[in-house]
Amino acid sequence: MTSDAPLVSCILPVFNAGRFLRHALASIRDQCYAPIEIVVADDGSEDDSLDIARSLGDGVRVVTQRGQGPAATRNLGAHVARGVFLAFLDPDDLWHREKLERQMRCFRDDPGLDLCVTHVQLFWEAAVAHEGERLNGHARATQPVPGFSTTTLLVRRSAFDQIGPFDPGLWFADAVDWFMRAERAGLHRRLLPDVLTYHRMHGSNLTRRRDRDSRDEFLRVVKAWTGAGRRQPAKTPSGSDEQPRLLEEPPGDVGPEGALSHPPAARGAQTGAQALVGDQT
Amino acid sequence: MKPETRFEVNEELVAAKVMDGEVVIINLSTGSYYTGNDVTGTLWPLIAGRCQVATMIELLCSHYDVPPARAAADLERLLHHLEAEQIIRPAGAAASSSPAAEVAPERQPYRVPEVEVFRDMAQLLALDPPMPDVGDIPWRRADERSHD
Repeated sequence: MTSDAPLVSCILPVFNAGRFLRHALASIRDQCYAPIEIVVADDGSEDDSLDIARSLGDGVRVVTQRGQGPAATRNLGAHVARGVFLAFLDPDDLWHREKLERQMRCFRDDPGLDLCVTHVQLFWEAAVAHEGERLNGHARATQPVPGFSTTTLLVRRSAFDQIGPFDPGLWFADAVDWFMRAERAGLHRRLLPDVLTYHRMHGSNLTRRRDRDSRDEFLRVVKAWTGAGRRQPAKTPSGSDEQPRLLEEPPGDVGPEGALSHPPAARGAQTGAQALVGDQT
Repeated sequence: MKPETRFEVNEELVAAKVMDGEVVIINLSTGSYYTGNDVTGTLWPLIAGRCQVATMIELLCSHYDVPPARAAADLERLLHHLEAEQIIRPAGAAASSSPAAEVAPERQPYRVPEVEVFRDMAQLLALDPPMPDVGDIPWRRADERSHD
């Protein structure tokens, strides 16, 4: 990496994430790309999240607020970030070590690119592996999916500022709302076929109330989208017709229990992915 | 379609709500979303409430200026469409409290009940909308913080 490579700010919005935070931080610190800065934005954690973040010394900037919700916490991190590019990682998710490098390569190859997202593979902790088994028939649960989510997003700071912050009033659909605003503004985006982000499914806070609340929130966002003159055909994102590609060496050995549980279809997909390694560079 | 036929919402795959008189539906499995007009919005609580087709036709004819034969044909087309999109499925029995078809004070102009299908945001909606019974954000609202 040349010394004039642009700084990427990696923002972790945190609330009571001590159980996962070390692994998320490790997956950032393990990135091939440099230079990066790590910003932990905490929303009033009551566990050891802050101790973990601060134990890494100057390598991690920590900013705090209290009880504002995930979107506002992402915004706090973005507000203090110094990078030319912004990336976000939820502390229960993981990045492939080549995530930022591959995304930054897209920006180098296409100077007009505003944002880049990756495919995502879900994985289940052992304690909730039965959920993965139960959802085995859902493509979203077992196959790599397009990751229009903050946790895959790498965006130019200027483009982020153009669209504006995440809506702090949304607790579940803030990312979808933001991507819809970016779509409406005509930002130039790319969806990488590579699976570079791993979305952990775990047993915390699995409540009917959240399920209902989150569904209502998505419906409101979609309603607003359909009512705002969206009827123009959407642009097909670059790379959207490419088949998802799993990479070698996913960070599947860094789970808190020492091993991560993948649903059967995902295990099969990973085996098949080995043949794609030569196609990655 | 028989008058006593009932449907139910495929709750595992579907989020749906009537807002401003129109129904908005997301198929959480595919990322497709749907908007229904005001007539569909009027019908939706009866569909979701497992009411009989005959009850829905009765509602259409009492609320709108439409003859029963046309209402039945349009309703059947809508229900088949929703079933093909896996939004609804046949139901065997009535819900414990099926809504009744209320009589409107004044008949409204009729429009064919239908839903528009949008698949353009399927990629955008592929990851984030919640899957059934699976929530995954660590945050608690302020009113939940004292409960853990």
